[in-house]
This record gives sequence, C-alpha cells and structure tokens, in this order.
Amino acid sequence: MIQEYLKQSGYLALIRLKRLIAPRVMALLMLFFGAAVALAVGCYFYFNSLNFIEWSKIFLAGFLITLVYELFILNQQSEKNLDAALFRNFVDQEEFGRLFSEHLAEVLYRSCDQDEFYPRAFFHFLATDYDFHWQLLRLNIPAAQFFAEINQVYPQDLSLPLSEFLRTAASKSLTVNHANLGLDDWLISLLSNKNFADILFKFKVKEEDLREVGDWQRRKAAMARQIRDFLSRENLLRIKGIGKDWSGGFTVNLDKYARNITRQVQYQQAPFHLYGHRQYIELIERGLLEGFGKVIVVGEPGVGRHTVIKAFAQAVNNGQTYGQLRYMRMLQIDSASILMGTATANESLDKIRLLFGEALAAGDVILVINNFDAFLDSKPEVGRINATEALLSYFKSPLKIIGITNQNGYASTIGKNTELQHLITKVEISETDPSETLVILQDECATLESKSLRFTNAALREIVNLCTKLIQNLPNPEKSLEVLEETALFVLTKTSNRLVLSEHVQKVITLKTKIPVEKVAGAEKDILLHLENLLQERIVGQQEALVDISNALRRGRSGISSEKRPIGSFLFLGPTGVGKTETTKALAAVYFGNENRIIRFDMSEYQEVHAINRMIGDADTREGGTLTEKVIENPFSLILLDEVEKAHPKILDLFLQVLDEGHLTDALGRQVSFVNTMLIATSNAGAELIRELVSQGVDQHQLKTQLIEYLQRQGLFRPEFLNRFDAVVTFQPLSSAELTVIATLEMTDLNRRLADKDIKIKITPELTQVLAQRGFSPEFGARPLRRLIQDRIESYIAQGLLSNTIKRGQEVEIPSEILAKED
Amino acid sequence: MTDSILLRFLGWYFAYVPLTILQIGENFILWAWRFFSIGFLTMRIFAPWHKDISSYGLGFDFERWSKIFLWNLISRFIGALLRVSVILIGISTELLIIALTIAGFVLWFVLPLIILALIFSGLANLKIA
Repeated sequence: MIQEYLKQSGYLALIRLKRLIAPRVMALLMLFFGAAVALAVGCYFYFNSLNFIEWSKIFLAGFLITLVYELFILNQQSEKNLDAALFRNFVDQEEFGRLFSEHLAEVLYRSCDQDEFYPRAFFHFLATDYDFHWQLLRLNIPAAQFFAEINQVYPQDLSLPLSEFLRTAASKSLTVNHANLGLDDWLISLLSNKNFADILFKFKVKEEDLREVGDWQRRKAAMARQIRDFLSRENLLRIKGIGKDWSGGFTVNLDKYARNITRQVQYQQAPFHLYGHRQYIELIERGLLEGFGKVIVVGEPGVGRHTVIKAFAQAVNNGQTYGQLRYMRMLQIDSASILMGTATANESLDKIRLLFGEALAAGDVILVINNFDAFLDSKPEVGRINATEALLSYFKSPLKIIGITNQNGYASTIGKNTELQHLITKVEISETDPSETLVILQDECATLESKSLRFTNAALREIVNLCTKLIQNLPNPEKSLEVLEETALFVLTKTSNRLVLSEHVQKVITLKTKIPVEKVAGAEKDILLHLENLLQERIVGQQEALVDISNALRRGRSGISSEKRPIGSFLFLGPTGVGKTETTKALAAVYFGNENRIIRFDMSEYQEVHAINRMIGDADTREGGTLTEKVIENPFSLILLDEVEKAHPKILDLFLQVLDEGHLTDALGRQVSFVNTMLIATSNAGAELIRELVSQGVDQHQLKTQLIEYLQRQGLFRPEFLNRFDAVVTFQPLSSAELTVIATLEMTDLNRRLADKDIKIKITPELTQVLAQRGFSPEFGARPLRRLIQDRIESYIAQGLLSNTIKRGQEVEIPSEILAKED
Repeated sequence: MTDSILLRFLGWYFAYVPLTILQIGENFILWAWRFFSIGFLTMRIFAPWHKDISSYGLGFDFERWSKIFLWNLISRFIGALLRVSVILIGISTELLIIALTIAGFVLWFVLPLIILALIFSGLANLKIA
C-alpha cells in the first residue's frame, strides 16, 4: 500500500536514488572537484606544466557531472503546490500519495511497510531530521527527553494502521488549506494515537501548538524558496529601472521637505508582515484611481499605517499597480516640518501652496502627508492650520494625495466636512487580530534571533495574549513588537538562558506594566493565603468584612473566576469613620503594592447626567474621560467610588457593564478593559439602620439582608446594580474596645514618627481610653481621633520641643488636662 | 509519472532544462526591457527633459517666442538624446541576452559530449610520472 502511495507521489524514484547516492556526498564531491579545478589551473600557472591542464579537464568533467546531479535532485525535490480544488479531489478519491511533500514521502518510506506504520522507525528517522528538531525547539520540548519517552512507549515492532492516519492527516490538512501534505500534518494526525497524545500532554503541547509551529515552518521555507528563485520572473521584475522619472518635473522645494519613499523601498525585500493588511493596499490603489484620487489612511499609531504605505510604494516602484500609478514617485511630507519656521498663517499657506503646486506640476508625484489633519483644523493652534480653502483646488485637481491621520484627527477635521468627505476616500486600518499578530511576531523574531537566542512559540503567543489583555494605550502589532524586542534584550542581558520562554515574557510585562502576570508563586501566594491577617494589621475589627474581601480576591487570582470581570468588586456599606477608606488603602498597599494605585472618584461631583462626559469622554470635543483615561494609563489599579449613592443613575449604569463584562466603551469609541482593576464603591446609606440593628444585637447575615432590602426600598440602589458586586460588605460601628485599639495604633504611629528625635510618648490605658472617648462621634465615627491627636498631642510635643521642656531621649507622659481642654 | 529514474532524468535533461533555459532567457529579456525602460522611454522619446519647458505667455513677440521655442527644443533634444542612449544600450543588452540564451541552450545539449571530450582528452594527454 505504501509503495502505491509513494508511486502516486512521484518521489519514489528520487528517494531510492538518494539512498543509493546520498546528496551530501555528491555535494562534497562537487566542492572537491571545483576546488581541484582551481588548484590544477593555479598549479599550471605556477609550475608551467601542461599536465595540470589535463588534470583540470578531468576535474572539470567531474565537477560538471556532480553539478548536473545536484540540479536534477533539486528539481525533483521541488515542493508540490496544489490548489484547494485539486487537493480536495485527491482526498475524495483517496489518492493520498499525490498530496505528499517530498519530506513526508521520504519519512514514510523509511517507517512504513505495506499497510503498516511503525512509529519507532518514524521517530528514529526524525532523530536526525533538522526540520523536526527545529519544531521541538519552538515547542520547548527537550529532544533527548522526547525521544526517550518515545522509545519507552513504542516498541520496535509495534505497528499502526497506515490508512487511518493518512485519512486524518489529509482531512485536517484540507481544512487549513495546505498546498501539500507535510510532516506537520502527519504529526497532528498522530495525536489520535493515545501514546503520542500523552507524551505531548506531558510537555504541555496541544494540537494548536503543533499547527502554529508547522505553519511557521512552512512560511519560513516559502520565504527561503522565494529568495532562492532569484531567476524567477517575479524576482527579476521587482525593479524600477532607469529613466522612469525623466518625464516628471523637478521638485526643488518639495525635495527639501519630503522623503522619497519609493527610493527608500527600492532595494528592500517585500515586507511579509501584511497578513490581513494586504487588502488595504488594494483599497488605497482604488482610492487613487477613482474619483478625485485622494485617499486618507486612518488608524491609530502602531496599527501599521506606514508599513502599508511602504508596501504600496514598493508595488508602485515595481510597476505592480494599474497604469497611471506605475513608477510614480511617492514623496512624504510631515505637517510639522512644513509649518515649522513660518511665523504667520499666511506664510504657512504660501508654503503649502508652493509644495502642492510643485507636486501637481511635476505630474509623477503621489504626495503622502503625515498628520494630514494638522492642515485642516478649523480651530488652528500651534502646529495646526486651517488650509482647507487653500487646498480645495488641489483636492479637485489630478494630484494624487495620500493623507495619514488617526481617528481623532479624522473625526475633528474631514469627518465634520461633507465636501471633503466627498473628495477624499477613507481607508481605515484597524489593529491586527491576535492570530495575525502571532504570525507577524514569528516572522519578525528572525531578525532578533541569533545562534544564541531563540523564541519558543509559546513565548510569542504569550506576548500576543498579554499585550492584547494588558496594554491598552497602544495597538497591535506595535505593542507586541515592542515587547518582543524588550524580551530579547531581557533574556540576553539578564539571564543565562538562550531560549525565550513564556516566563521571560511574563517577567518583562510585569516590569513594564507593574501588573503581576507571573503565575501566582512565592510572595504573592503568601499574601493571598494570609490576606485577612495582613489587612488586620491595619484595620481594627470588621472581621467578617475582611474575610469576604479576601475570599473574593483569592478566587480572582487563582484563575477560578471569570477573566472577563474585574479582579474584585465590592460595595462597602456602613457609617462614616468605621474603616471603609482605611480598608481600601490597606487593600491597595497589600495587593497593588502601593496606596497610590487608587483612582478615586467623589461621586457627589457626578450628580448631573451630563457628568457622564467627564467620566467617559465627549464625542464632540474628542476629549477623553477621567475614568477611561486613567484606566488606560494604569490598567492595574484600584478604583474607588466614594459616596456612590450620590451619583446620577445613568452614571451608575455605566458600571453595570464594567462589573459584568469587565470593559467599557468610551465616547471616542475605544473599548477600555477593567479586568485588571479592583472596583470599590463606598456608601453611608443605611448607616442609621446599621446602628439600630447592631444595638438590637442582630447577626451579620440578617443585618446585611435587611440593609439591602432597605436600600432597594428607598430606591437608593437598583437590584441589578447590587447583584453585580462580588460582595456587599457591611462595616459595623466601632465598639469602644475597637476604638481603644485604634487609639493605640495611632499613638504607636506617632511614636514611630517621633523616633527620629528619640522621643517616646508613654501609651497608657488611660490615655488610649480618653482618646477613644473624645475621638469618636456618632456623626463622624473615628475620624475625629486623628484630628484630636494632631491638635492636642502633637501640638503639645511641638511646643515642648521648641521650649526645651521636652528633651531628646525622654519618655513623655501626656497630662490629662491636655485632652480635657475645651476648644 | 514514470518510476524509472533514468527516464525521469532523460526527460528532465532533454525537455525540462532546455525549456527552463529559454524561460530564464525570456525572464532576463523582460528584465532588461524593464531595467532600461525601453518601451517606457520610447513612448516619451521627445518629451522635454524633466518637463523643463517655458510657457509662451500672452501676446506674440517674435524674439521672445523664438528664444522660448529654442529653449524648449533644446530641452526636448536633451531628453531625446539621453533616452535614445539608454534605449540603444538596452537593445544591445537584449541582443546579448538572446545570444547567451541560445548559447546556453546549445551548450546544454552538447554538455554530455563536452564532458566526454574533457575526460578522454585529459586521460589521453595525461603524463603520469
């Protein structure tokens, strides 16, 4: 059966020939004969003996024979390139051999007999196969361990039915539109064998990993083939030639300010990173040919706008565009460089007219303008001008223009002008999706790799995943490419490892974003396990509240809870001054590492409906909102909504989406992710009820239930809002014992601050009791305590220090009259 | 496709490679045509050099008109001179490529004879001391 398939493949004769005469041996022979010819000729000139000429003839004959052999082998090895219809036809007719690549044919020749496939022989052959070792490296599978596992599970004589694997491989290959059946397809079909699947499971490799690495290898091979085929028509005709710009006019002034993109790309190999972006080249071409020949390329910096334009420039240079666009010069100017050096608006307009006029007169120029919106701003400021009227005649002229701008720039200029929208075609470039970005990284990492540095596929995928999830202020592929470079640098300079793994990427992202993305380990594990205890070091009482919060956070970080919601969301209810804000600060310090990672909103400032614009931005003025801008800049932070009951209901509705889906779309159309934030809303609503129920001795559970019912009855919070929090945490009024503990903590903190001066305040039970009594009020809770300590005790110490009644090294006893004094 | 390596070799040697040589020759001819812009320059042979011409302006003044006419003529002459030079070099290159392609085509067919001649001639004249 295998012989039938190999005959169908057309590679059987070649495989037999290669077994007879190894290509490497012939290649060495060829080198030998070539060197021998050169040596013989050299010896002739040195020794002046005709004998060497005769030897050189024989060696030359040998060289020619081996050369012809090598060319023949190369030709026979050429890859099949079947179109989808033909591929499907062969699969339907079960002529699987016609699908084989040469490599697969050779491997199966060595490992099959009749209708049986021998896995041991298969992997034995692959043990010396360069392509397979490349795949193992990219999958982070140590070769020695892998082959040891294989030898363990597959005995020498174990065979499996060949046709089963052939069918699986062919059908899977068909679904991904491969041009032939390769080794990667075969390995994927082998996953249906439990032993092989178990081995890969041990190495944490899944089918999609095999597929990604296989496709990566195919693309590499295709690129290498394209470079090797330098005599092909496609390669040879990738030139502009002499004299194409002799008919175009001189552009003396434009040359001072412009960059010639077509000259820049002339000798550059075609950028391959246009997966998914190739369509934009066609759109730009169509836009330049149709209508008035003006195009505006809109996209955020980093999505690949300039890459697309460079690729288009290369197509223009190589004559691969339609008629009139062929061989034109693409000159790029930047609005900033044009407007720089001009004192008045008129000077700027004259300069713009001069450059545009020159481009039009030249006749062979496509003008590319970076930051195009700066010329069309109806509210001119420094670096921006309103040249719309002046440029209108050029927009209606035959001059080809490509403008580049971002969403904001477009919306605030052309987006508001219907006449310009009619004249200019919009081409919107969006960021690459994760699969396209991964492919770009796979191709790009070749420029960073060296003999001593390699990226695994898992590391590249981790870069895409983490950048997509955690970096919001830059689009793909820019942010992923940045992290790719940073990771390479990190591994080269900070580690002795030469294989870039997912862990290295996590480390780089953690350093870059301050978000602890590394797997929960070490210090963070301890923090989460003992979170209640850590919080209790700062928070007095409120035991149940701290337990609720800690459980929710443990769920979040262990990966059990949904990844589409914030880390944690809590509604703190309770009277004022009982520790709600202090708990928030403690959480920020313990979990986020810094109290400054709190983004605080006083919701009493958002009582009007139009305050939404302040939160999520204004579509008219194109200004970002405070909430969304802060979260974009600091995706890993704690958002505190103080006095949340005072906010307008429409504003509370915004947070429904945040709490449910972990993201919010702002007024500028950007989707802002909240999945790395913690959201805490505080409210004093129901404080009286809490005091009443506590004094009645109602248990915590009942208290919470009655409180929530009360809040809903009063219309303060809607049920759908309350239900979306991970926990509604009730803070109880502080008991006198707790107040005394707080007073002790505050005095201890004061002593810590006085330690510099070697002064210590004697903290007596009487002192703390008095502080607890005087520092508490039903209205403000324990808040007055700090003010009391500051006004009375700290003032007393300060006065004593200045008047020298308190000296260094002294233990100070606070007189009771200090605290008894009336204001 | 045949299974015999010999037949496949003969098919490759006497059919595939000669066709490939012709194809490569054709590719280079196209390359030279584009590199020297032969067609492109021919269509614009008398175009002014870099569009460097002056307008005749309003009104008719014989002296001014003559000067402008002469300058424009010079500009077209310069353009034509350069273009014709490049076209001629291009055509020469094309002819050279055609000659090399034919030579390569013929050489390939006689290569076995050449190899045999080299071996026999070498062995015959070799003096082994």
